[in-house]
Amino acid sequence: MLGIGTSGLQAFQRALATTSHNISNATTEGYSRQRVELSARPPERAGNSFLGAGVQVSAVTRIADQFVESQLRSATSASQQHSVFHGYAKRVDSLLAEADSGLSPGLRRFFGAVQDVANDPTSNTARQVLLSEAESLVDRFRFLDQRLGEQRDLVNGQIASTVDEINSLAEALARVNTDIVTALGRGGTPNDLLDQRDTLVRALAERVNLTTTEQEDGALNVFIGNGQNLVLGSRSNPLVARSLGEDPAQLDVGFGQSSPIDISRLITGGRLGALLEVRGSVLDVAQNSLGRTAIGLAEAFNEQHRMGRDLDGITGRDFFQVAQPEVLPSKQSLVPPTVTISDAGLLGTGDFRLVAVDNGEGDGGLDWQLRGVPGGQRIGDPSTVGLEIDTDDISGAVAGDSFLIRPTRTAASQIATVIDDPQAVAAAAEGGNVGDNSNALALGALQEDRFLAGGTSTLEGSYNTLIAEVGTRTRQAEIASQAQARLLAQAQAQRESISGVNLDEEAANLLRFQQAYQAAAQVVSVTSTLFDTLLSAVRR
Amino acid sequence: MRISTTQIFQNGIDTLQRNQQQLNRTQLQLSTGKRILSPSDDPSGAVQSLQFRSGIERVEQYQRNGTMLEQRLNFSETVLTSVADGLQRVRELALQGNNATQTNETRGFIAGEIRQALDELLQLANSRDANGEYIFAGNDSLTQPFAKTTDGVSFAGDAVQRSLQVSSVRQIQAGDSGKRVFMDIPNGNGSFVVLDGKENGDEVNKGTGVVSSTAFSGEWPGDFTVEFFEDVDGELMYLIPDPEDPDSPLLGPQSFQSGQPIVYAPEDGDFSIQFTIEGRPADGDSFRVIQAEGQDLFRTYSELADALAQPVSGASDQARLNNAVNRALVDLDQGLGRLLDVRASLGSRLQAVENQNRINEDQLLQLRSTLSEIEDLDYAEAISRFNLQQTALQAAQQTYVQIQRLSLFNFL
Repeated sequence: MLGIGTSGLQAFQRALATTSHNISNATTEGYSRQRVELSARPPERAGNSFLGAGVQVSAVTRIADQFVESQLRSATSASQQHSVFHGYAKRVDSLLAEADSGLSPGLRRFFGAVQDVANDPTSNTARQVLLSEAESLVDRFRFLDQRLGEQRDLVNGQIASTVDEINSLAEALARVNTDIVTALGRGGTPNDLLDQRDTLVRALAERVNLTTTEQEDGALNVFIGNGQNLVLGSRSNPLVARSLGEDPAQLDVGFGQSSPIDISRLITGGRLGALLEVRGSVLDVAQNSLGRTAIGLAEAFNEQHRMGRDLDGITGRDFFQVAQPEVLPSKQSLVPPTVTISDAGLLGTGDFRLVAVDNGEGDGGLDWQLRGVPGGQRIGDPSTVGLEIDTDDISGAVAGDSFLIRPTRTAASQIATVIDDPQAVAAAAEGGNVGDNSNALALGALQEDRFLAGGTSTLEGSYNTLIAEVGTRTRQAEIASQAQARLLAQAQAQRESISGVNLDEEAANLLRFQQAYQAAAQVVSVTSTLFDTLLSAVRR
Repeated sequence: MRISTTQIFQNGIDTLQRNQQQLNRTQLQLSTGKRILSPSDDPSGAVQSLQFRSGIERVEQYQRNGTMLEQRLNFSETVLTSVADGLQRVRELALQGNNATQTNETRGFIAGEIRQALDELLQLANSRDANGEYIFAGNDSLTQPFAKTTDGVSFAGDAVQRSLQVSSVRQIQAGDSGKRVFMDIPNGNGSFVVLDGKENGDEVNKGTGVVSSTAFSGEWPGDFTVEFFEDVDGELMYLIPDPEDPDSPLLGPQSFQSGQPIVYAPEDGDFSIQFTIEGRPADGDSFRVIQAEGQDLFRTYSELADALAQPVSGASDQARLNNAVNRALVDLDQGLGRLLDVRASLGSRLQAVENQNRINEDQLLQLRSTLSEIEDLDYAEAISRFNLQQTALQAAQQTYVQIQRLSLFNFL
């Protein structure tokens, strides 16, 4: 009987300790409440019957549901992805459309100044104002591009630090795996280690979308991308963040230490997924689109300006200067092709890759294939996308080599005005006198001329399209991020509902176990009284 | 559902956060007066508002162009009014000078005044606007268009005059070239002029024949001369000699009657030339009939002044003067007609600018009100939303505090 009483004392002490543990960890992130599982000890046989032998602690279980946990993980990935994406998109969104910093006011003032020159072609003031407005417009292009570039730098920096975080989390996870496997080997469940592991996996899921499988020995394997094993048992395979394509300034996510393969395209979800997506679908598009507007302005304005005659009777020169397409080789040793813009009106907002393939004739000759980036669609004739590519200039290439062609990426950052003399504004038509404004009128008409995007868009229209695109993406991201936040809250609520500590519940348990402990102590005390009674009876 | 303590806190905080976000957004809307705070709030609305803004600025620019154009046209109009006034005065002087009561001296004064009027006309024709541009120089607007030469006044400007853009589809010419206003004005009746005397100018008529009304139709046959002579009977005859064949004249000889029209309209020709000579030409007098050509107003003035300055002694001088003044009067009327044409066209352009300004004004109003509909905040709705959100936030704060007080541990 003493044994029974003692077993109760011991069991309730454990229960009280576990309740205290729960209370202490009520606010610990990722903590799953624990419960002492009590069971009756195996009974003793006494003749025809079994006598109860007291209570024992069969296990301290951790109340958790792996299904709910994995739901929470994927909700975390998705929610992080959308909210990070939304954050960046919103910044670009406001930047582009801000009444004072956007491009539209600059474009309008510039063309207003062109018309003022048309009103008064001999006025030096009007011409000077036009040059200043051109300078402001060019500054506006550069400013916007610079701000987008800053966002790009920020994104690249975040990609690097997120990859670092993923690596250290993966390493920690691998260590915890080792500890768990060891603990399980000794028998018993290491509840708090399991919590720690779930927390680590969730932290990983915040950064990148992942899948997990549990090994038989209790270790958890983590996969990302399309099956790259970030954590395999007690080993973690770090990711690398560095340039793996033609552009040395663009950070890619690589898997494998010695010769990493580029898995950027395969990464989805989490912060890393969001960062890669922002870069590809917002920043690339925005900078390209801005560049396209810059090229469109420069080419159209230059062309018309060259048809005119300036105040000194000299044929108009180029008004703006604009960058040629950027061509980046996959190997530094390659001599790139000459790429020029054949028709600014046909330029889109995408990039291209020129890939060398064996011509299949067995003579080692190469065919050059042009493909869209992103998307990879084949482009037969470069002139359909407004480009002229002279592949004869290429040398040193073998099959598999490639060039990344960005027709418009750097245009907005490099547009400049060439003319600095007000007299050199060609307001008159060729053969016209100083007071002639025909060319200025023609230049002014460019404002409403739809010569971009295959003749469908005006200059301002092409910029507005960008605003609408980014605005729509931002709006979608906002809605998705709100929806995902709700889903995440639900998943969290579900996890909390199962694994979270409720202090009132613990208070009640505290009372319950305290009372049980007191009762068990009474049993010991009664047992002792019984023993005393027996002893005194014998002594007599 | 079981609920954890963390959850209770978290729910409370989430609610507070959400309410605060909403309240903050409404507050921002109220303080900016804008419904759309960033394009993502309403991408198509945001782009629309940009388009409307751009439309407004364009129309405003057209308004500016219109004002500029109006100024220029008004200035031209003012100058041309002065030119017309001067022309009228010269016409009066010509009539005065034609009067037989004038003496050589008084005619000299009149000639002097006409020469002054010529200087004035030259000044007006070289008018410059506020920007220093010569308004009648066409597009060569920085070079003085009219200058005196030994041979009258020359035009160094451009016949083309620039146009200004007053709407996306409309350009209006900003003024008129001096070439059209002052030069190239047809003389005579627009078809031909009858000059008295022989071609070399030395041999003047000795009679008193004065050319009056003229008429023409058909194709110009080429310049010719009408020669007067007295036949054996002493009767005054005239004929039009054929320079190719002196023996067979083109017309005549016919006897002359003062005031009877001389008609040159051969049956095999496709023209009819008619003019009247009053008075009595002398034997050997001749009148040259030459095709009209463009003449400038300056020449008309100076030739008139020259004719009036020449002293008159005797009937044939008077006839010569009358002929010259008559020709000048016709030419002045031609100039006046041209001036009227130009001013009428200026007036209609001014009218067009004004109409366009009105249209632009209407368009601006419409654009602005549509823009306001797109991007401006409905204050009544926003304020009531603000109140509602405020109440919701207060309720969330109060309930949060209440809930936090509840704990079983309070009773242990």
